[in-house]
Amino acid sequence: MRFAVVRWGAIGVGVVLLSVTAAAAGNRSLLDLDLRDLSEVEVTSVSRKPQKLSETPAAVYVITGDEIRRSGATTLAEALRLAPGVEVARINASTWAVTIRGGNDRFSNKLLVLVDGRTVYTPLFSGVYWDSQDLPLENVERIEVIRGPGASSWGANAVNGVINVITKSAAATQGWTVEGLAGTEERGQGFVRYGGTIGPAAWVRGYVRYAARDRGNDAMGVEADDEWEDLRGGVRADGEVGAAQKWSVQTEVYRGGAEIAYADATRRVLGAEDVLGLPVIRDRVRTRGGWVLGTWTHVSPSLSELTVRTYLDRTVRVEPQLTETRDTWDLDLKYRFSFGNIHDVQWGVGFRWTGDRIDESDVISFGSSRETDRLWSGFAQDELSLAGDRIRVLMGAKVERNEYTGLEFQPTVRAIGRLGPGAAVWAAWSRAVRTPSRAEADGRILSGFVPPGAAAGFGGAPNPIPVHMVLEGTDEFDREVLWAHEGGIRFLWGRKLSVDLAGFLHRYEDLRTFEPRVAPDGTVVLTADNKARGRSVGFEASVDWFATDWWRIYAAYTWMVLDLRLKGGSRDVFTENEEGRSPRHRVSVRSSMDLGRGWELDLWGRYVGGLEQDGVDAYTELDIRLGRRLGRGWRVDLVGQNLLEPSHLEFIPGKAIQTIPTEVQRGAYVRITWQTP
Amino acid sequence: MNRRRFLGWAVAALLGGWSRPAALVAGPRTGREQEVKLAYLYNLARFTRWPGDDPPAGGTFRFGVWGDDPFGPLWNELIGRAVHGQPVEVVRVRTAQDARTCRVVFLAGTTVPSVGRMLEVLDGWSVLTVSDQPGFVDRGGMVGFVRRGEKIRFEVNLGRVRAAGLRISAEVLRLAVRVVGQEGAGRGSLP
Repeated sequence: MRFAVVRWGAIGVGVVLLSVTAAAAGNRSLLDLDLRDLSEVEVTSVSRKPQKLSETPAAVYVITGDEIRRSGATTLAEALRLAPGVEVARINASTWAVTIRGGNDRFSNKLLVLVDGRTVYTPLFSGVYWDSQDLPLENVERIEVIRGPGASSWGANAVNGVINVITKSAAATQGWTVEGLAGTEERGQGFVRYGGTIGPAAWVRGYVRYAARDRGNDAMGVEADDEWEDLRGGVRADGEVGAAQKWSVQTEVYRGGAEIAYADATRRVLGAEDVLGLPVIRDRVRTRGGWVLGTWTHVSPSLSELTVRTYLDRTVRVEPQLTETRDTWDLDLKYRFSFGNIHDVQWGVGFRWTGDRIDESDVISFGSSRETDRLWSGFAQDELSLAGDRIRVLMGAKVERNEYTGLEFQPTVRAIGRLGPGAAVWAAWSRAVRTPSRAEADGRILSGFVPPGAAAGFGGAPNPIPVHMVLEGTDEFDREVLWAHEGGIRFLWGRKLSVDLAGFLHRYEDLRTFEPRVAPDGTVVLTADNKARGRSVGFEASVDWFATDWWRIYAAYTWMVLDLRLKGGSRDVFTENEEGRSPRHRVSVRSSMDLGRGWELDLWGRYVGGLEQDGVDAYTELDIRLGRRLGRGWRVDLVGQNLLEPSHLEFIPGKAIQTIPTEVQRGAYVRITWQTP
Repeated sequence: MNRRRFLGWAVAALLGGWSRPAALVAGPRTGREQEVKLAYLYNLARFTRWPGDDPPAGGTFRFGVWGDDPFGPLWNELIGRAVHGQPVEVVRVRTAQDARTCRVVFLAGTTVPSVGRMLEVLDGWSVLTVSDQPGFVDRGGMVGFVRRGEKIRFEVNLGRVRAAGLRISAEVLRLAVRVVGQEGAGRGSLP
């Protein structure tokens, strides 16, 4: 750790020294060019942010499509590493643990993820299957990352953060794009997209993408069997009808397969792994599915907006231990209007139906093999601009009725004050809840065997022979609650440096525990309960610095500590370990340079602290991308990823349904792109 | 690679990047997309004349943005300046009244709720409408940004500019990649 601080500190000092020289060189504002000169300016890709953000009373970061391209990331989960405060840990080639502000695991249940307003959070285990959501990044317009609760507008489970993926409109993807990629870890990808017009104000595009990824290393340094492939294609159309209506319809189908290894709970003796090794089952995870989403907006003569969105989503996942088929229908209506020069009001109502069919196994079973759930919700918020728009106050709340815990109320109060041109300070208070997953309500998961005698530790008589240990859901399990206090400051230093600092204090109540008992048949049963509470404190800093008009440096630092406590009477054994699932320090430094003549050079260094309780070491990694625009729409990229070490381990998932982690390997790839000029 | 070597390497790489060879620097001026568009907005405002009998409220020159503001902090640079002798002011457009008090309204790309409605709301008002949505001028917008290779250019719907009582400089029209709606050319443009 100390080494890392010294190393990054030294890089930081070097960068600051360079800045002084670079700033002295200066550059004339484009505003002083006349029109003729302006029409000759070459637009480079080191783009600024769409910064409505500077006015948002929340910790927000926007990853632009251009940043994604320049990072070399090829999957959605990897692209999220670009945002400060997002913890991305790759478990194996096709699974990730992703969260914000702590509590990371394969199923990080306090992070809500939406793609164009479609939730991709699975209600079965509370989390995201990142492999099913591996949309082509070429279609991504931007990813909005909100750290901290967003429950007052997005609803339950937007507890520690919200990730909003927004794809490009069909109008913005006209013409052909063809991309081919080949490499060592990124085995190969092909992407073809065509966009055209279907009317004076209507556009359409279609695309197909195939991607194959190589396996990682196992703990012995030998290649594991976890390669992954994915094929998907889709169509999107956008348009306007008459003067007042705007619509969008999109659909996608996908099919994927990944080799994966699990700890075999039917043979595993808990606690004996050091001696006997972990029994493992390997199989192929198959994913397939598709969705249709439509949005319709009507704008009144006074510019009030009514938006209706609906989608149908089917996702099928065939795993060795569980097959899940899930259908979701969602309908949302939102109305926005302004009045009195100071009020900007939004309200909306929503309904979601989700139905599943589960094919169980010896390891995972449910109280019922089919289940349907309905969710009703309504929200309202008013954003007041006061003191000549120097101060903005936002008050809002969402009320939801779900079938597990009934009515939930999730309010927020936020304020932002402008301190002058380019400086603002904000503060927020919110309440958010995480509602039970179906597994926590009626699931039963076999974890392994308790070795002889050890049942005594769970309050039973010493067992003469190994007995089952199962995790069990119950209707009694209640929602988890967060009370969040946040604040931050943003400022511009001259024209070139923008700084964003945020701090938070999150207090959690009724966090999940598993309470042990010994059933009459000797089985050790751990039942879900709400007997923990906790607190997390953290600090997130990011600096965006345009050193010159062709060089941008972006640095982020995140520090956080999570402290969990069991309430009286709890005998949970997992909670203590969960504290250590998030690194205390994380650093990311990116340098983007336009070297002229179409050359681009990007460097990206990352330091991620260790997860000591789980035995995951801290790591430092470096990605490099060298790109060249060749003219006539051609572009070539050479990308090296995780270059500092042959391989490194990022995460070891929790013990229920334990996915066997593999190490992320050093890799390189070449990408050739052609776009209609 | 050991740590010391990595550090040396990283600093060298950064330094190498900073001292960009002169040969590479020569060539056309470069800029970021939003900066170029904002500079265009400022210049278009300077080269357009509004009817003299329609003074703007408060004596400021007001730019409005509808949709997600793509410029953000870049506006700060414009705010210290003046157009036609009036200090620049920037507002977010939320209502029809907001839009009508502006001299220039920028419809931000595909994030605008409805291009048609805004044009309808501003019909008969002396407001210059500018957007980077494809086909903007063909739908009745006044100035539309288009991308030509690595450069940002623009199109003009002269008919709509004139109908709004605005006069746009001939210099602007000469630089436009396409001018539409110019029946009776010459009347609306400044020499």
